[in-house]
Amino acid sequence: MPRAKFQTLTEQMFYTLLCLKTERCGMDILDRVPAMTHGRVRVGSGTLYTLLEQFSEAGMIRQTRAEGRRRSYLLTEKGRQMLEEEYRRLCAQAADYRRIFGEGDL
Amino acid sequence: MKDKKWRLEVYSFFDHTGIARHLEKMAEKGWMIYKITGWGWFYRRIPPAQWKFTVHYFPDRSEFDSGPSEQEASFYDLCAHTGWQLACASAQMQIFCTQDPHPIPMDTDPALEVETIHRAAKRTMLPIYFSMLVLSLLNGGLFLSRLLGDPIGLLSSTSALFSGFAYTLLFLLCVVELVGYFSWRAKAKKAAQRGEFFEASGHSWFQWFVLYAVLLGALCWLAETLILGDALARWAAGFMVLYMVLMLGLVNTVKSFLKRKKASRRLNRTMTIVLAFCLGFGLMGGFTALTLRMWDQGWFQEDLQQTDLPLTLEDLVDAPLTGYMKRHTATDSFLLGQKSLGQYPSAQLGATEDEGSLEYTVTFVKAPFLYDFCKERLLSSGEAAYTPVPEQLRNRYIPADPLPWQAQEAYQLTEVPYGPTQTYLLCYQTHFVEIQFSWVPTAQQMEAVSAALGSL
Repeated sequence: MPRAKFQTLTEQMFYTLLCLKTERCGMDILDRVPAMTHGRVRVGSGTLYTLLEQFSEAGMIRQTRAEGRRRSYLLTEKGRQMLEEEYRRLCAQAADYRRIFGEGDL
Repeated sequence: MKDKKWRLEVYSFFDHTGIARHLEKMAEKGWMIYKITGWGWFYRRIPPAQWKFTVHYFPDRSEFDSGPSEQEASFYDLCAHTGWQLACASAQMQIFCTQDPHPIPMDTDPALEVETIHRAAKRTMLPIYFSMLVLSLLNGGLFLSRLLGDPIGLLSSTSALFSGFAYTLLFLLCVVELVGYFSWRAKAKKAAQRGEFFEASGHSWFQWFVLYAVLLGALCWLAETLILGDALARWAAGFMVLYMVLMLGLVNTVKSFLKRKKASRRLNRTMTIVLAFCLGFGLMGGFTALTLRMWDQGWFQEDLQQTDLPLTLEDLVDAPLTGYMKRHTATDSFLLGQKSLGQYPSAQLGATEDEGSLEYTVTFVKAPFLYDFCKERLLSSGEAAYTPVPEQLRNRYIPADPLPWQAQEAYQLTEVPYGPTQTYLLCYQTHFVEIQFSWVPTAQQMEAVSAALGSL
């Protein structure tokens, strides 16, 4: 089944939005995501550009500044809600895992 | 040693991995891509090295843009931040390169990559291929209708055969590319659900085949017209070549000029379309007007009068004739050949006496398996020449004595209810002659026909 747009977030979407809790430009996000995840998640420049475009269109982030070619973005309330929904979904998944296997198997 | 190089490269629009691999091989050989135009891909010499290439599609980009937009420039900055430098851009296709052996891929989300490529394809590739598919289907319909209505005319014309061949190839190309694209997209979407990328595989060998076949077809058509055609056909062929060169050259020059002058996308697109429209109609209208004027001034008729007909009225009436106009058209292919010839009195050329007229068509059968088919078609098309009429009133080709014509078979056309006409179909070993007299031919004249046309 194809995933409905932004109903659930991929890791790259999740961390991109997470980075935008504070105002950041694209290049900051490119550096910040691997730093946050200890290199586990990396976002390519093409993917990030498309994500920022789509998040803006969906009202999940907004452009705050444009200094020359450098554009900065910030998470909106809608984006925050989507992040929270994704967080709850992930927590529910983690809780289900713990219920089945317990903490000891981690 | 040349520092720049031009190559004609053919790739499917969505074959981004194939393009990247090719450019990596070129860089290994010491050639770096720096420009892509409608005329080909341009490379500059570099020290041979291992480069990584990636192709990204920018759906909002248009070939009428004078340069990168602010969004594109921001995108290039992002790419540069991860080590990817822009090598060149052609409309929506943006090619980046890096010497980092393990760069962060530009596209790290397979679903987004498929979506971006599809957005770009919807704006250019898909409308173009669907339009060409409709065009090839329309031309295929015309080809089939001519094949059913005038198969001999079609099979004896190299240009018609190659035109049919080229449109068939165009149709197949569109089908191959569209099916290839949608099949790749379906597989890539499935793979993306598993978080995987699915490599595109284009059909560049088929595109090369189509390109060469179409070029060969155009050359054959030109050669046939220049060698076999009359003055009017040669003039028309020359004009068509000039027309294509002017159209392509001027339209592209204006588009490039407006890009250099930083004209907006809308202005460039509007000017280019208006110019193409005006040039297309203007040149064609001008050519038609000029040709009509030249015809009135006798340009092409003069050439016709110098044509040597294998059989002339003089051969039959054994007297010099003045003021007669000749007609001569010829088509030829590897299957059949057809020459349509005639001689008529013309008041314009000062005909003083009417010795009648002569008209004949010679059909050469080069492919023996078509002999019986041609005979049947010539018989039936002769009988149907004055249709539509009821079956009982249709003209009939009645078998006639072939001996006076030195032919294998001979037929005389009979018009119902008027009786025999002076139109004959003569069947020789490798060709047919349809000949029409405006008088009853004598035995001597039949012999003259046989001598002139029986052993062509």
